[in-house]
Amino acid sequence: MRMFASLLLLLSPALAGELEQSVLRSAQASMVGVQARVMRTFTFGGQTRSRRVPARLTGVVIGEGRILTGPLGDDPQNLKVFVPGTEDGIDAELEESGPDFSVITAEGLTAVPLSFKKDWDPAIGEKLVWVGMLSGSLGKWNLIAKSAEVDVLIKDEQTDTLDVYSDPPFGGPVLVQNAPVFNREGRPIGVLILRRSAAGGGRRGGGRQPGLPVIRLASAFSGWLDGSVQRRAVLGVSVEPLGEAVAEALGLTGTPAVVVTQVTPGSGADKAGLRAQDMITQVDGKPMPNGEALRAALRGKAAGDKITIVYLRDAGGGPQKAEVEATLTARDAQAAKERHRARRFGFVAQPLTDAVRRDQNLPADVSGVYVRRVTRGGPAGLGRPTPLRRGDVILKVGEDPTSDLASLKAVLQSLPDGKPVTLFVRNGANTRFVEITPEKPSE
Amino acid sequence: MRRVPLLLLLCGAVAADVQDLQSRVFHARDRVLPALVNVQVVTETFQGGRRRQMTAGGSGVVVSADGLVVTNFHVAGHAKKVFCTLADKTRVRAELLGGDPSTDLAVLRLDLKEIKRLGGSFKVATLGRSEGVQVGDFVIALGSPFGLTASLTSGVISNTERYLSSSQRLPTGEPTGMFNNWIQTDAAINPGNSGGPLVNLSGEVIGINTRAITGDGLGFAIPVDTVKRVYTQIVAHGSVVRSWIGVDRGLEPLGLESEVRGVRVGHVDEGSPAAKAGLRPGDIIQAIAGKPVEAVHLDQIASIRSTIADAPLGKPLTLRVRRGEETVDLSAVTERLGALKLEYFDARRFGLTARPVTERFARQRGLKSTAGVVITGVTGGGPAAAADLQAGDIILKVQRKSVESLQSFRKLYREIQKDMPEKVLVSIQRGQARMFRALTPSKKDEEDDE
Repeated sequence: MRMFASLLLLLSPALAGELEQSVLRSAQASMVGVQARVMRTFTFGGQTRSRRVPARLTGVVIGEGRILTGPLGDDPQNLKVFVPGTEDGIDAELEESGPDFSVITAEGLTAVPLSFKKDWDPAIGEKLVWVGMLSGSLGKWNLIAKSAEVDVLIKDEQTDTLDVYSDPPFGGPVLVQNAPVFNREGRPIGVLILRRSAAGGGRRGGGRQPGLPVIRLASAFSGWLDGSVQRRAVLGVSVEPLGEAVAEALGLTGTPAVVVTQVTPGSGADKAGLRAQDMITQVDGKPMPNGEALRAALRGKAAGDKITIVYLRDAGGGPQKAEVEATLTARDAQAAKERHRARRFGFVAQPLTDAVRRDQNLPADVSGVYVRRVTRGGPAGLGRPTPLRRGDVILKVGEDPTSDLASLKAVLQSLPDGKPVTLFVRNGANTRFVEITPEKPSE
Repeated sequence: MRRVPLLLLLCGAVAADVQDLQSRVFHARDRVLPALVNVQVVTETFQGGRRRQMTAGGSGVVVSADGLVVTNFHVAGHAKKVFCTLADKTRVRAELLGGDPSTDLAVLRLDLKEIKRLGGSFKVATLGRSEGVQVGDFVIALGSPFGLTASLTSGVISNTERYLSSSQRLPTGEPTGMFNNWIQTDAAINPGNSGGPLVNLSGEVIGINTRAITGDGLGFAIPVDTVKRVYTQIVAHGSVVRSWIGVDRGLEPLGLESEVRGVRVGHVDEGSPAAKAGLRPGDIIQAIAGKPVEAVHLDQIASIRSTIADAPLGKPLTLRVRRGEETVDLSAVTERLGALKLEYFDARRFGLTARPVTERFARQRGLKSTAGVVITGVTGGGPAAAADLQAGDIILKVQRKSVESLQSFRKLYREIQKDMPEKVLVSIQRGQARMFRALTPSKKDEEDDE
């Protein structure tokens, strides 16, 4: 599957060198392509617009099923990872996102985590290699690599990043954001980020030029490598930045804020009385220009911690300022990773988390399990339309309510092969019954 | 296959029964052709975020001596002007009396004075019965496929109870096909045949040709029994009045294995008459107003919906329900099914078109009320597009004022046009999220005829 023949090399004449070969050999088992539809904000004619666009990125496996990759925003959809030389993706989920990186998890991914060297002192003229992922015209992902003798290295102690200069340049196409960088010993020492050049960052073609190569050293993300950093607590809001045009129309020009678009029922935000369209200007005294600032303010906090929120609410006469204290709640990250594979029925279920509830438009009082995948041609995926569909919420099997994965599992296991059973499901605002006949899964 | 009778003739087969078939085709043709009309309309479309006028054509058939013509809703339902060309080539204006998107039928009235003045004439087609039509019956279809007037095609009835997915929509966005099945025929039905008659060999209309599926010989006609009911209501009220209890979307066939006969309730609309009467998902309706109902397969659902729709409005409707081992009688007071025809509004200076939030739409999206308007399209690069407004967004407020309906949106739009602010603040709902957006109305007054 992972054949050397699928390697695509953009290497200098020193390609055949031993270093490059050994780097490719050790890297290829740890590389994945990442694909998703992400929200991107564009500035166009003075107006800021957000739009969902397809994104393809390089990912590197840093732990069991955990992948470090480029920015994906708060809410990537259809998130999938691909191992080199394949075109069938594996479903993945966002664990954490930052302004220029994300950590995602992909269950069932068999890849070898790269073990990064956290203390590395660069030498002038050191030869470095990055290994990235590129998807070709047929959608298949391949490795791409580049090596260069780097002339000057300037370390920024605050951010643990390293500016590199070389001729030819060490940069590459946008897709290789977060490509792991290997030193002359063939050890990975960080990831490549491509900063948009300050000089060429204007409107004309700025976005198309490859950015300036910068290496984010492993010490900058060591917390992610050993799993010590985790988002533990949530406020329970979805937000978007307050755009210039809306700020102007509201009479709030120059006020940095994030606008709440949705409040999770029962969350800390809900209990504190926050509502959609409230504009959060400060959290614990810090300004809130964007969602990343809000996430940064919550990072490291635990469930039960309190935060102070200053917000504006657009009442009849214009925005009114208010201040509330909100208690953070636990993130149901663990629940989001649980699955039940009902092989005899041909579907995969997961718990109904707040995120699913929000995406699927489900009120807080609906309790059931969420259908994550339906096997094509299996008992639940036979016919047109198929009895069960991705996005359905199973409320009952026969007469038994299925409020969680355990109760679903228990009732499904008690059912014999060959005998049809009726499931009561909900999709959006509609309910319906579906009949499925379990059968022994074929080998 | 479909040209079997004609092919036989071309081959020179001279069997007496073939001659008989030929003479019956001529007979049927002569009875209906003088009642066939070619329908030309000037209509409005609301696509790509703006209103456009366009012309379209179809077919129709005269069904009364006072010049009433039956055609399809998708031909004439949104027409601003209608012209009909009679079989004798007289071309006159016609008036749209009304239409019904659900069965895709519309009724036109020919300008009789004008016909008289021009010395034209027409005949009235005889409406037959679609009950009793059999698979294999020879039929002819008349109409103007691709504008080729007075075309006759022939074939047989392929299916009398064809079920087509109930979630279909007309090109103008209205849901269609909830309350009827179709007669399927292999007589060639092409664009422009729409609204023309499907005729048996006695020369009686048994259906109105409505749609086709890409492929060969897959045409569908509204059965004439349905046409008669809808026609009577349109002539009386301009539209079809239907009763509603809130189970239309939730009826499911029970399947052959079921020991119990009836139709299963999969979903009951919240707050609906059926919900108030105590009907619950999982109940099996066995009789409606004393009439037994049963659905083993999906193609039996439309007629059960139709039974409810035809029940008297505002009166209690008795449902005999099987619930587990018990049988109970529930009584739901019928309400009027909301209007099905959609209205659109082109807010030209915002670069968007909108339509009302119908009760059906609100129920499907799980909305609490029908407040607001739905954006149906935005013009490329226009003010709405630049402000990140998208088709499907629901506009709830404009400049902090609530939008209750399409009328109130239209009114707010006109008020805003008077003082033309730099930025217009709108509150929208997108999925479950609520957002602010600010659009810069275009200053140009071009083609703004609202």
